[in-house]
Amino acid sequence: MMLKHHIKVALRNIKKQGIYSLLNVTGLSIGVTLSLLVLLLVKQELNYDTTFSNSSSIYRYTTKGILSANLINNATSPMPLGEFVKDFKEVNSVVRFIPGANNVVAYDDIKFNEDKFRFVDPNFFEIFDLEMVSGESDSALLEANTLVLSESTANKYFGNADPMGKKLVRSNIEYTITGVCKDMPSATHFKFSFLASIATIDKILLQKGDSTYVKNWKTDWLYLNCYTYVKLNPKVNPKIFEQVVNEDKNRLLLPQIEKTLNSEMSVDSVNLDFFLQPIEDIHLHSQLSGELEVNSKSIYINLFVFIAIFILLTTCVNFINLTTAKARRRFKEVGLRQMIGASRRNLAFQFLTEAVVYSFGATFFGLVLLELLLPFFNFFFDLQLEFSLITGWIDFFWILLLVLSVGIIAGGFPAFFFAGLKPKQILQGEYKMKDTGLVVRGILVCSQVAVSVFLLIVVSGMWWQIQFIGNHDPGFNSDNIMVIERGSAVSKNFDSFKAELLRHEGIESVSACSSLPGDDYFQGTFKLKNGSNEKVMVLPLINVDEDYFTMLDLTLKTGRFLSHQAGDSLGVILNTRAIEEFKIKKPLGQKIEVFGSKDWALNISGVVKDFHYEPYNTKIKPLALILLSGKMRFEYVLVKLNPDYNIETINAINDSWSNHTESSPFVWEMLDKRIEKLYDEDIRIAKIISVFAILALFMTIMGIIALAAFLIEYKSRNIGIIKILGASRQTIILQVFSDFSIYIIVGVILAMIPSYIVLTAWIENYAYSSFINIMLFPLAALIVAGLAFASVFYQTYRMASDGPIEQWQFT
Amino acid sequence: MYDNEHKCSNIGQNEKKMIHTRNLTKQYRSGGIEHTILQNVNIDIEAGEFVSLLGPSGSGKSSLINMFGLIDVPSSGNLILMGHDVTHLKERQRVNLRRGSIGFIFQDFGLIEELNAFENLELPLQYLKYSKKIRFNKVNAILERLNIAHLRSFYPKQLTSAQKQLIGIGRALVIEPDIILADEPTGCLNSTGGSSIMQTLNSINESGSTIVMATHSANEAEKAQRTIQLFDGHIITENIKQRL
Repeated sequence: MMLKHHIKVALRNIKKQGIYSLLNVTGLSIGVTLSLLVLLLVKQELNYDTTFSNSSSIYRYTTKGILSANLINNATSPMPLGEFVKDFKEVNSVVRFIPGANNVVAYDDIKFNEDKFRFVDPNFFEIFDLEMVSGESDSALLEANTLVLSESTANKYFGNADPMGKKLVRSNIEYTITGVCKDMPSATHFKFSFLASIATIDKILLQKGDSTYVKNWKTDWLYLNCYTYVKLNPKVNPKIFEQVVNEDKNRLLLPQIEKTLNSEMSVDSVNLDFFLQPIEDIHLHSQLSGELEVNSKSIYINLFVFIAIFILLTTCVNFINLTTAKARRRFKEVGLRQMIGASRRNLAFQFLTEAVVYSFGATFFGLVLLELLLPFFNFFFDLQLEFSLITGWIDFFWILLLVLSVGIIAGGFPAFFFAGLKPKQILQGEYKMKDTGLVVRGILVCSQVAVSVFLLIVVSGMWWQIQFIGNHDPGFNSDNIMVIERGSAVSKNFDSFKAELLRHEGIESVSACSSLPGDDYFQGTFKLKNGSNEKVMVLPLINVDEDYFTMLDLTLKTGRFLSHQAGDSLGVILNTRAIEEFKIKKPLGQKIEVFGSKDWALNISGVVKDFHYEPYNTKIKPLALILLSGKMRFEYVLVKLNPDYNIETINAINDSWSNHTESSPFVWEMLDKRIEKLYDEDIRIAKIISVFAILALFMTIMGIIALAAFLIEYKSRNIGIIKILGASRQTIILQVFSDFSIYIIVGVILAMIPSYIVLTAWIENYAYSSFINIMLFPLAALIVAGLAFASVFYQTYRMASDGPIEQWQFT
Repeated sequence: MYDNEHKCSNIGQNEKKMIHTRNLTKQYRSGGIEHTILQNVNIDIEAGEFVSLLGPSGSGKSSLINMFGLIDVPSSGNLILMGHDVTHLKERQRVNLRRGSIGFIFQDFGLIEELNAFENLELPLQYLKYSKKIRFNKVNAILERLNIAHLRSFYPKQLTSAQKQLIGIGRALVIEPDIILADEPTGCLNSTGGSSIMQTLNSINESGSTIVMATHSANEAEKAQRTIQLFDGHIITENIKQRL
């Protein structure tokens, strides 16, 4: 019965209090909008890979173990594993897929360079149950050379035309389109444009004329060449099943290891196990070798949640301050209501209702603001956040909960504050804030200062690390190097292409390589025999053209770079790390055998200083560089441009490319930009966190100013008295400062340890990181304390400058 | 609403009395010094009486009104209202007794600015959990009785001082209280408005309501049936006017 009355009074009060209400609603709205934005982000991050049926029963097999001295921790697994586990009763479905390399896909004259071409088992849709737009999900990929397109890819190639039965060509192989499915949702750990039947791979390999390799490719347990996904029976305990498989697989794996090792080394030195990783955990908890996309990190989620909660709490605290700071205006009403029969409960309920009404209004405007801001937010931070109240009743429920929570948190204190007032005191003007009320406000100042310092330190530390990465010497020079994608298109006539480019005055050198930082590397297993000692190691391999070394300005530690002229087709350059791992004292002239093949041994011609051929979040690993020759494949052509290059240079390269390829698209980018992209995710997340942290910081500083204003206003009577007694402005300011400094100093001290812990946790994500600059701590403390003191100073100065009667009258 | 266990069993002849005090004393401490506001005050007010408490500022009349209105408690002595010993009631019990039995009239009218005249009158009935229909009828009856039905949708800021006080009186009457307490009811009114309000109070009293009015004006005090004069917390005189 009273609810309607309370809502009516609340609305009339809001209307009556004009600017004050506007301030309160605006503050709450901004807080709600920011929190909702962060929570949408968190929701998307937490809901990765949850859209498939029984997604909690879907796992990816990962491989972990030791191969000689090398730690293996891969997202990939061997092909035979899928065959092996599918017969277990615990397994409902198994799907393997192999990502195809970047390549041109053509439909007549329509050609695109495609990097999301996957070869998959025919039952792919049993696990990843995407809706089919056309074709049958269970039969579309049974035959070799069949292809299912994602809906957006179908539109890209065929527009509104029906793609079914049409043929696409990739790498001289023709595929018939047998289906079109919906796009993978954006919140999945991998995407695809094309799904080709896995049977096609046999054809591709046979085309290359190597039937033994076809067999090995499918049966080799030591070749981690595919991604294996299983859907388990929901009742199965994955840990137990994992153990069963790992014990049982040794039946098949060990004989092969023995055979491969050629009885020359201990079987004990090889130990590979396969682990089930829930797909729902991949996005936030997986940073393995060979991840399909750059994954996020759970620490980001913790930070986001912290920021969202902090923004909301700050909003509520600011609301409480504004409400109670203006409490005197409501005292009379409270007293009157008590005299005519209102109980404490009535009053508490009234003020809670009022806060919830504010909260509803703020949430409404917050949602409108969210709708308006979301497209910009998505655009600036490259996100695909979606929000719909109409389609998502669960969202509606959470928002309702948010409204009530904000209302209760923000309104709780004022409600009990007002309900606790005594009518006699109010009506006779005897009410005075208790000391405990002042202490509570002091604690609020202290906590707001603490969180401000914390946010400032953490955000500055994050940017410090990102700057460190940007300025860190990678060990090679990437300036003015153009990377042309799909270099294999000119592999047959690379020499002539290179010669033609070098004739152009804008081009300094031309080279080629099989991989660049951020790519997956082909790995070879090598064995070094040094007297009676033997060491086997898995080494990433990069096939390079002879000009690669000078173009990238690699530093030679010893020996010489590889060249055809010196007959280095069987030469290898190792990095310093590899030499340390092999424990070779005099590397030059030593031979490393390709594991399992005594006939193929490489001669160590030189050693280069370690360089970052992988992103900075991984330690530099051993590396072997071998010379491109014969049929060796390379992915990229590298062109070192003169610093004064212009559009004509680019056009000349394009023309030459067209002349030397069969209309392969000329897709290029500069190497330094390509490397920067490796840190895009970190930079993007850091930007998002920074934006929210700065907004939260702003709100906190506003809160501190409001609290300072309130406390100073409360002290105004004392200020008036000491002024009458002859205190100077300086004395007054010093006295107020001494009262405030304890809260500010304690706040600053409280922030130090948590910010150090969080910053350390963040930096631990990088193998190479800046030291935590200790100066950030006092600097952040100085900034926040400076702002707080400036606010106190300004307000005290104004009050100290007024005549004493103003303060006296105030009371 | 009121807990019967607190009903005084040995008050005998006081049962007919609306207000009965014995040795009522009010003291408070400030800065270590004890101040006495009321000392050993003995008052008996019968049902249907119109009593004025006359005295200058600080004489203790408002403190008495506050204690009669259950918004303050005595330091010592006894206070019996409507036959109930309320001296030691808990806060919630005081609220329960106050909301249904005592109507207040304030010097500054005590209207809630956000509510119109009708809603101001309706508010105490809402706290008493009357149904909407009953509230409607009761409020309208009071508005008619005070001839202010035309002001029902006006907000306080749209009313004259006298009209505001009439609304304040209406709100005190609407719960049909046992006692009406008026603290300087004409303090904010001009002489015309003041005498109009006094007439209204007399008329209410004539219909049987018990009224206790605090005032510093001897003229207004005379309009009550009985005047109790206070000074420095003591009753100094008591005059009874015989009605014609």
